Amino acid sequence: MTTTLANPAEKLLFEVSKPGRRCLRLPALDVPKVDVKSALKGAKLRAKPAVLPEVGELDLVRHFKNLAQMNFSVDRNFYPLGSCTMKYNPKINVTLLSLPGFTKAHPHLPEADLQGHIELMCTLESWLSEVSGLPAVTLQPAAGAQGEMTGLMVIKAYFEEKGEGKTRRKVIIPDNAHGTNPATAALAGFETVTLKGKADGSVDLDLLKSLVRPDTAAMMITNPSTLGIIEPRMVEIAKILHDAGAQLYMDGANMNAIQGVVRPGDLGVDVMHFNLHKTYSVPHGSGGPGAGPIAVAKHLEPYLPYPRPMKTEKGYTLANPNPKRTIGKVRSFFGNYGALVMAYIYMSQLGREGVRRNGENATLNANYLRAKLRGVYHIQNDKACAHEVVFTDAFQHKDGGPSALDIAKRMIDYGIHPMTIYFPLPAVTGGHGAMMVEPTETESKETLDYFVEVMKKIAQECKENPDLVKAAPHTTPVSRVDEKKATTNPQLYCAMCIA
Amino acid sequence: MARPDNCRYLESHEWGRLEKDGTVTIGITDFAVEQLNDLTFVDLPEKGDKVTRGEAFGEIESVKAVSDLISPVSGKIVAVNDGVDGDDFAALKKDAFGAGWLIKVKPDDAKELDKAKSKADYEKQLAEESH
Amino acid sequence: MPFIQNTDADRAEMLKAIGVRSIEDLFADVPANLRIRMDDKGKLKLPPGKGELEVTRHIQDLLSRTKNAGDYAYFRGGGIYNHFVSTVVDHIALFDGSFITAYTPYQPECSQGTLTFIYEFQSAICALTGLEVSNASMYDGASALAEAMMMGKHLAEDRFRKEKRNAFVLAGAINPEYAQVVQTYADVAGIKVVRVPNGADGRIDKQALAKALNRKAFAVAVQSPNYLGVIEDVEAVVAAAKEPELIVIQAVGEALSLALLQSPAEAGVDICIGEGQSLGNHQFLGGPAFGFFSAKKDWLRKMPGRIVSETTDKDGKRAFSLALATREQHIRREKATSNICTNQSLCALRALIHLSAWGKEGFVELAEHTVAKTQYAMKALSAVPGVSLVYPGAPVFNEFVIQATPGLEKKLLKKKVVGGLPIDKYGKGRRGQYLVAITEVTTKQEIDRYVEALTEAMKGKPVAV
Repeated sequence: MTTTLANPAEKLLFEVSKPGRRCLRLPALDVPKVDVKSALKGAKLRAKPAVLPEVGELDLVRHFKNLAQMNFSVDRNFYPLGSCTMKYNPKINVTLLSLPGFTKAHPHLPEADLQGHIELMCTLESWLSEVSGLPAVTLQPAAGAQGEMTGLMVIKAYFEEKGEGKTRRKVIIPDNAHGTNPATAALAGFETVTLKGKADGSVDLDLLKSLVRPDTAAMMITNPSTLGIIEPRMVEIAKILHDAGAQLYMDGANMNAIQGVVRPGDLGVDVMHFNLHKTYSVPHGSGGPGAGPIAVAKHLEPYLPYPRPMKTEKGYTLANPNPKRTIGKVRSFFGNYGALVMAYIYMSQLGREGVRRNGENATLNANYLRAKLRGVYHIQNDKACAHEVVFTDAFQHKDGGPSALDIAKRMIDYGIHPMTIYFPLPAVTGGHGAMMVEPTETESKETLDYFVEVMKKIAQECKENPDLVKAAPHTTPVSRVDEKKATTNPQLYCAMCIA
Repeated sequence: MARPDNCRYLESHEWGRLEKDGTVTIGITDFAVEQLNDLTFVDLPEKGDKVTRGEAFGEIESVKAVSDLISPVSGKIVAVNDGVDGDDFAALKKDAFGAGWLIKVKPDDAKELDKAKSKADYEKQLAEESH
Repeated sequence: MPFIQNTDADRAEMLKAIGVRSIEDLFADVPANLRIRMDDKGKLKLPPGKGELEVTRHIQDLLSRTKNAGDYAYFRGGGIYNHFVSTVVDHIALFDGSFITAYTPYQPECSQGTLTFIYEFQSAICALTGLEVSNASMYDGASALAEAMMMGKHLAEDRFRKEKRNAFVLAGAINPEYAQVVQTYADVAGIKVVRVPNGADGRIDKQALAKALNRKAFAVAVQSPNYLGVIEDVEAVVAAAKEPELIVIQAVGEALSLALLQSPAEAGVDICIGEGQSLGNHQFLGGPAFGFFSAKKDWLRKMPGRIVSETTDKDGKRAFSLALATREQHIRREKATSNICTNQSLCALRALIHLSAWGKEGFVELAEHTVAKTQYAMKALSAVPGVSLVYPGAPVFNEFVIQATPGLEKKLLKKKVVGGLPIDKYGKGRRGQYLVAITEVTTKQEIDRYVEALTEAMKGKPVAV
């Protein structure tokens, strides 16, 4: 066992709270004290102060250090969570980000004081443009899903200007796509058309042709697909759409595999988004923040959100070059700038060779796992994969044997974070529970070998001692959690917080 | 649980039964209830709403899935089982074909129900699906 | 290669295990003519990689071409505020890898740390707003308002199936960043955004509001304190929305104001959203921080975003897990009410640490100091010849608008003062108006320096009418 686990009875901050305790003190008030009631005359005030924890600094720090031990993280555990690209996050990212030049960069500072920041944004845009093979980039979207939405809004604005806004109402989405794709299309005011993928997850060109019509606005494709396979006929797909006057959107969630290998723009893609928290090492932060810039073809540039960082003769500026054509803003100010800074620092270190090497090693590591676990777990498509490989529980989950969920939970006992399970959806994996493994390029061969060893051991346990697997995990601060109760009888806050 | 012969069944696991008063009672089968063993929520329409054959009239949720409830007939809803709407599933689990009914519909054309499967065909489908 | 641990020998061995000759063979599905050749310098024009020392120097060089709020007596806010952030926050959230390098807590057994702090964060937001449900956070205040609008629309569709309600009312002075983002979302959703102006007292024009709140609308949003700093009578908006049965949304631009002002629950709003940057998050040019999102419990099932609930493990021990996932896009796909797939966990963690470090009393003191400093600054600045308050007598918390003359910025900068934000673009008749923001960081000395610099800058200027 490799995990050290904290006191499971860790109390909540609200429960250790004691009147009179606190960490921080204010300096003596250097202006005349005022009576709040008379100073805010005409405003309604709250009846009682908000119930916040009252704790000393040591208890506060210890609380979070204890919680920290109840978490798996990339810094401590192999984290092969498919589709999420849990690579190592270099420490220099956060060290440099904590410089006052960033932490105290207020968005309303005079533009002359932001020159270095705007320069950074311009350079990052140019790098993402190079990797995507598309000429224009916006850094504003705060996440991949917001990048998707921005991309579809741009496409919508393009068709509206062409007078086709009313007719082009549909977006084609493969059945193995991330849930954000159809949700985004609906939010952006489109109807979705589901394209059934072939067994290996690739696109059936004849089926696609039959679905592409004059009312098609775009197709959203994830490449490499969620089944970990590089789409071999991207050029043909782009042609089918373009011949019909429609646009091709590429979900760049899996860009880690093909960065530096091929540029989506060269494949015929019109819009794509990057997940900087996947491909460019912005830490995932327990679920966010990330950043989801999009890159677009020349004909879509006028519709990008404002403000846009630009270099002029007088220096760098934040401009709105197309006030009549831009879709507007999707996020306040300039997006998740702090996340952009970390991606910039990371890409500075990679350079041209490093970008390519990441793509190569991510792919190599995934294929190595595919080769080493062949025969132990069913492989959904046993051909060269990209950055991730999809296994299923077909060999184990029969005659009452452990399921993908059980196997995932058992991994925790060996100090490895579970892979992504049940995505792609069972409908796409022949009814079997998917186990999607993405090792990323930063893991060593030794770690991968340990993973292989553990997975073999678990496969053995599934045969010899299935109940052990089904009751896993056994080494965590809590045993298997009742997620149903959380939904049918939700308790969403400490009762003491609302009087 | 014995599935009633006097019901017609949809591939998507809903059942419909033509009552003596000419209305059609609609519910989901014991198989569906079992499949959704982590049932968490049922969202039903309101009395007076219209339903269309083959289209969704509500939703049923488990912890990590949500499924549409499909109507076997078109018509107007005359009653909704308040005992099921929301998060009380005792009736549904105990008696999917009785107390666990979902809605009653005054059908535009009761013959539409015949287009759904017989019990024998539905059970054949279940047998095939389990392979 | 940076951050790659496989050696050439490892790679050779791994290729052998896979049964291919080179890594290139693994990319057979990429058309050969489109694959990037590393000797073709025309493609993938990126600079060579830099080492840690080099990249540190480079970032320092970039920052040498910037100035930040700490370099000035700084008086700008407008949605992001120059607050003090305790070192404890950075030590836990930034420098300890346990939270920052974890993912969304989908596997509760090995994510109790994250789930616990999100639950505590939700509790803290509930304590501040008084509302019973809070999600695990959104991108920012602006997109949280857009999400609240979409939620209001879905709620109305459910509650009033036979009414076509399609208007969203933005009442009074809303932060323009918020209004712009709302407009972008509304455009594609086919929602009509109706603006209600503020009156001469800086608050919502009540007559215009009464006219806009009808059964064509599904929700109304009010920002308080509003963009111009004035505290709105939110309760009055709730009352006006009662008869046409509108969802009432309160937006909060400065979360610290919740320490003193009537809570959203006391005012009776349905949904309260806001920008959380003020709570322990750095400025970073406006992001990342987070949007908080809370609502009455009746509306829980239409809430966007992740939610954590207390539950038990199979031995009956307390545990936490994500809840009500069927609302979300990964299950509901095109029928989801929101496409949001992340929350800003790390920023929410910062807020929780910040709120706990100040604590119940300290948080109120923080707000009281802000009020005292704001009152002092208001009096001192409005006493400068030629300068006046635009909304004298209106209740304000941390921001207020002064009337001076346009184009004063450069003169102030010479004295190392970044004065209030010019708001001439915010509406007609705002030439020479500045939105001044105060925080606990602002000192009397800095305010006095602003007063002095402004006095000098105003010399010889015609007095504004």
